[in-house]
Amino acid sequence: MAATQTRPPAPKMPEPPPSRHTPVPPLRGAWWKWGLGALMAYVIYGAFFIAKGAVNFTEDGNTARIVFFHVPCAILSYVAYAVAAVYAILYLTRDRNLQTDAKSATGMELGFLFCILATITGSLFAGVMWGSYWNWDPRETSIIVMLLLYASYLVLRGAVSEQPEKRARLAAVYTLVALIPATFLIWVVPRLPWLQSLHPTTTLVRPANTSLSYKAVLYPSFLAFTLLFVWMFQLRYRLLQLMARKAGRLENE
Amino acid sequence: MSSKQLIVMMVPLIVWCGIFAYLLFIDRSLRRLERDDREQDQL
Repeated sequence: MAATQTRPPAPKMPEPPPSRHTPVPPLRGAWWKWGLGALMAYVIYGAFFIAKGAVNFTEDGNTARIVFFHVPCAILSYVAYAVAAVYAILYLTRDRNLQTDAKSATGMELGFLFCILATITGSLFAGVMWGSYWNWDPRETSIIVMLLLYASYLVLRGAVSEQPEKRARLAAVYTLVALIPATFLIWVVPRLPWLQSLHPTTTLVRPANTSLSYKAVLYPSFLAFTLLFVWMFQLRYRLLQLMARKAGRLENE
Repeated sequence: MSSKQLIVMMVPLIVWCGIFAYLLFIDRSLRRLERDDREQDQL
């Protein structure tokens, strides 16, 4: 009778700590952060003293100056969503790694922040330009629904905060499902021909309508806000990593 | 350069300087915490 040999169970090894944050390769060091500080100061100066007053705007065209702050925020609110969606796909398809989930969550949190900033700056513009801070314009309605999409994501994560794996899975699926209405609201609804909108649309769609003095400020503004997004993304992600490591250490103790 | 425009410009500029300083402060604090964390791992 052949005896079956059973191997003793291998000792359970403690899980290795998650790897530390590695910044985006071209953005190592502090030089670009100081560059961002100077670039944003240039944008603020240029918004008032380089760009000329725009035609077809009230207050001698001064109301249009908000474009340098409003449009980058509005675009970044969607870019942040796209970043979150990419990490959500990576989480679901590749590694099921909680660090990837943390990156996706960071994108959504920052998207919410930039969405709020775009809403406030847009509302200020509407108040001066059209006499009412809120007009239920198609773009205004779209951004309200976007805010609700972001807020729902944060509520969802908060509701299952005790189970990180489940939270990550649900959050990733939500991000991808909500990507469809988000894309529709931002890129399709405001361009539907039968919806009349007060919102100016020619700044980016027809660059020929934008003067050189505006471009000299608007394009650096896009770069400055993008760098600001990257910096805030890094900070938030590093903080989440530290918190995860601390929680893991407390569990081991 | 009108003085009115200059005053209005100073508002976002000062706000930006505050945000920038605050972000730098958070960045440094995080770096210090990461260094402490690394040292704790090595012990």
